[in-house]
Amino acid sequence: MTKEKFEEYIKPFVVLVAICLAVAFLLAFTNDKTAPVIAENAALEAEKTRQQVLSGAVGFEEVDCDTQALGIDSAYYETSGLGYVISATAKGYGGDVTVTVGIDNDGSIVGMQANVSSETTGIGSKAGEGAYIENFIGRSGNVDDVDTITNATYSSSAVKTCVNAALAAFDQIREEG
Amino acid sequence: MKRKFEIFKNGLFKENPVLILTLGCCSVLAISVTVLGGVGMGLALTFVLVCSNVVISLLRNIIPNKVRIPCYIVVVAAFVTLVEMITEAYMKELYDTMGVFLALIVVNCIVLGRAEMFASKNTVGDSFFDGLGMGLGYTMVITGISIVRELLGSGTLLGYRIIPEGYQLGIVTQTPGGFFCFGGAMAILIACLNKKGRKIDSKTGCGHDCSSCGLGCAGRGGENK
Repeated sequence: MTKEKFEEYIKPFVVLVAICLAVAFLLAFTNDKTAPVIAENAALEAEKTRQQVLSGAVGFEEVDCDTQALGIDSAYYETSGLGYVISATAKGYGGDVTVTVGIDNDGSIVGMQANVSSETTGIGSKAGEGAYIENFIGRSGNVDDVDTITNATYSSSAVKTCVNAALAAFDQIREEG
Repeated sequence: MKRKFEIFKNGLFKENPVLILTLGCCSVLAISVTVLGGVGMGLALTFVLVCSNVVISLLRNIIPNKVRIPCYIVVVAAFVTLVEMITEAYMKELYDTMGVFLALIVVNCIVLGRAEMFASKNTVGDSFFDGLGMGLGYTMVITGISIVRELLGSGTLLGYRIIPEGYQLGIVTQTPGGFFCFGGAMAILIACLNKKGRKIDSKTGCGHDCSSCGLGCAGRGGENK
């Protein structure tokens, strides 16, 4: 093989593959170091949210149910029997809206938190603020009659969809025991 | 050393990547809503830019011309993914603020632009200072714009309320507000440069001699009349 042919066809290939391999090793190493930290952070965050929506909770245990069929992300029951914490996700305006609902044993909402970080700041983000969340506290069955927010229909509808899914899932879980 | 300082200073003012070269504007418009996000994005970009400039400059004699763009992108993407994983693990709040724009540094034109125009033609030391200057130039602009936008738009600075609730201008946090501030910042910088006697050449869009410039736009004004 002539030198030109090598320069023309083989060298670009070899160099690109070598760079990609080096990069892949570097990233694999970093991922190995950061993945456990990221998972731990996420678990801590979720635990903190659960504590906030069901005040006085001692500990949580995951409910064994088919979350996909119920249309929710996760369901936990409080170990001292205070109630349940159910999270659900729905599509908002900018992305996914995740709502975590604390429900007491009578089926009414006692605490709630909405993650609206993907919604427009100052508009859709209102759907996650305390003033709007207040409307849901004490409700049971469904929240169809809670008004959506003017200008933020997508975001607030997403919150409502999540709460309805959580309440429906609660009934289902209670029925099944 | 004087040359290195000159290169560094170029990125800050004369060839400011955002306001003079108008590269990477979309991320400036999108993330300058809060100061925390703006500063974080600026520092993340500076890190990626310095690292990619150094690595690409090191490899500039090895990378064949034919596959140079894929090689640059792989190198840039590697550093961006690195930053993404590290911020997600250790700076969660910042990671949440920047969202998808952190990953989009890969296609930020400043990074690829400096790789192609500067790092692939200059020594490692020069490329390091070019990356640092350009990165800090970007950080300076995005921080300045985000201070104005957060203060007027949300009435807060770094989350602390300064203007009472109800007196803020919501539009400033929206896209139009971003454009207003962006245009204003550009006008201010160009006015300052003009005042110093360096008229911006309306043909090439820069305020310096083409023969001493690594931008690679030389003759652009002349050829494409």
